[in-house]
Amino acid sequence: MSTVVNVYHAHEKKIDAVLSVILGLALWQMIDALLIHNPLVAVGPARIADAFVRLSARGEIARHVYATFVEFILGYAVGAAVGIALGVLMALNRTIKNIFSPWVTIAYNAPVVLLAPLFITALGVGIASKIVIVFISAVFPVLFNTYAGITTVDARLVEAVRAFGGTPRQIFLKVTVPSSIPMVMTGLRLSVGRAIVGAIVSEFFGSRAGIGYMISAASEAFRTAEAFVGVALLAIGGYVTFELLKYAERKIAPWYESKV
Amino acid sequence: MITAVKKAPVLRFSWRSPQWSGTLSVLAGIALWQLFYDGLARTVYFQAFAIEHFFVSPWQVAESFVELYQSGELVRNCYFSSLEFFYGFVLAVGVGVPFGLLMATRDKLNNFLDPWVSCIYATPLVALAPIMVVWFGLGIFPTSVIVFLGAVFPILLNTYTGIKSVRQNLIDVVRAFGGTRRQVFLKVMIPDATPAIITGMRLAVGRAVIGVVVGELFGAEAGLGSMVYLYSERFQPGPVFVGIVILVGFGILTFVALEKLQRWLSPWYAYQLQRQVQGMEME
Repeated sequence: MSTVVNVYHAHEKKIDAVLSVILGLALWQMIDALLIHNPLVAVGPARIADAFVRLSARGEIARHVYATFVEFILGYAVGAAVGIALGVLMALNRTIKNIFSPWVTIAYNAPVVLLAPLFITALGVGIASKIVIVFISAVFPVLFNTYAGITTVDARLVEAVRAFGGTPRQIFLKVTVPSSIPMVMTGLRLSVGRAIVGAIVSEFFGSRAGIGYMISAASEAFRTAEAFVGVALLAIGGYVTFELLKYAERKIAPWYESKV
Repeated sequence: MITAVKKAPVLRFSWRSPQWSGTLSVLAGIALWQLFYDGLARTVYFQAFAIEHFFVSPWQVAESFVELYQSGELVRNCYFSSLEFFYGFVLAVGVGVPFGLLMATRDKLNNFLDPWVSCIYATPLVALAPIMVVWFGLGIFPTSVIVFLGAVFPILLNTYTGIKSVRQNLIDVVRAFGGTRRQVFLKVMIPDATPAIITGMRLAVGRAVIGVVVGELFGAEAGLGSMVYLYSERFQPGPVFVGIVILVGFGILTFVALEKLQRWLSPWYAYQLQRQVQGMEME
């Protein structure tokens, strides 16, 4: 008995987490099976898993995930590249910073997904309008964090390199770039969430495929379980991208302890 | 005798001062936008691509604003949206702060809630908006729920982090002078975590505004989001931009107001930040 207790105390946090997930799923399933019988309202894990199997057998899931993935990856890649480039420019040049910073502040705080209907009018219900929305959602967190990363470089490090005869070019490449990488990675991670929201909401506004389309079409037809399959797919996608970027951050900048 | 010498604020007009160049940049941007639109309106592309159906000039935005205001539509939509924001946000603070406090002080509860909180936090919750309409019907309630869901997690997690990073030496001092647990909690932990809690609220404002907009996409009777949606379906971009400008302005104003609240509630915090940035320089 005491060995069981010892094992429990050694891995208390992990065991509690597993227990919590199992208990939570069981409770959820019991509410579905015993308390609320309306399939519109209560969708237990069993019903969601059932809907998932049914949809993936028909190839629906692959189609929608593929559509959203393409929108996400294209908009996100361009957004990240442009964000980093503009962030570096703004951090290095005072005039550019003065001109753009109020607009960047506004755009960073604005709910840019509101522009989705306009872009759909302009570019059609196809993939182009979604890529633009994902791009606009993703670019500003990256820009902001790149700028902050470069401007908050530890002055002592710069001074040390300069004292030993480092050129501005060397200072930039050997000090500024490495020490701003963690902030840039934070920006990249933050914009994953925003980019996914951008893709989903622009699919709500008008589309023919994608996870957002799947969720809104399913709930309009009162197939709540299928809508939850979409939500679960988004949760998994967000989690996987987040963890991948965390892993990349540890590889690229191992000296930096991730805080978020 | 020590006298505090305070420099009189000097009003300086410098091209370099951030407020001045910021205002200038915004004005210049709006002027450029107007010029660009007027120039575009003279070209053949304007007709060929039906540009007036999705692009407007700042002047037309101002005209739409006046029209919407005079018809009373704007006030009504703003009223509904702010109700949704208010209910959702207040509920998010009311749930997020206590749960953050509990999770930070009770390890067992934290172990059990943490997997669910991180899982739900990673999910884009606006995706639940269509389902909320199925569950709760039409009106402002489903949108308030979306606002609540969007806002509650940043507040909860920041409260948690704030309490977890209370400086141990402060707790030790109060305890050394015979402070009870209750006193440590009320006099040290809560004040020291306040800046973090308000930072959480500031993060939550942006998510709440997006929640208002997306929630109103499905089954809202009124609100700024539904106004935007309605007019974009009618190919009238003027009112759409009015809605966007109001929501952006609201987001930024709330953000600034919370920053002021942060300064007022914990005035030492800005000083602390300054010290961290500048090192140990004397004033």
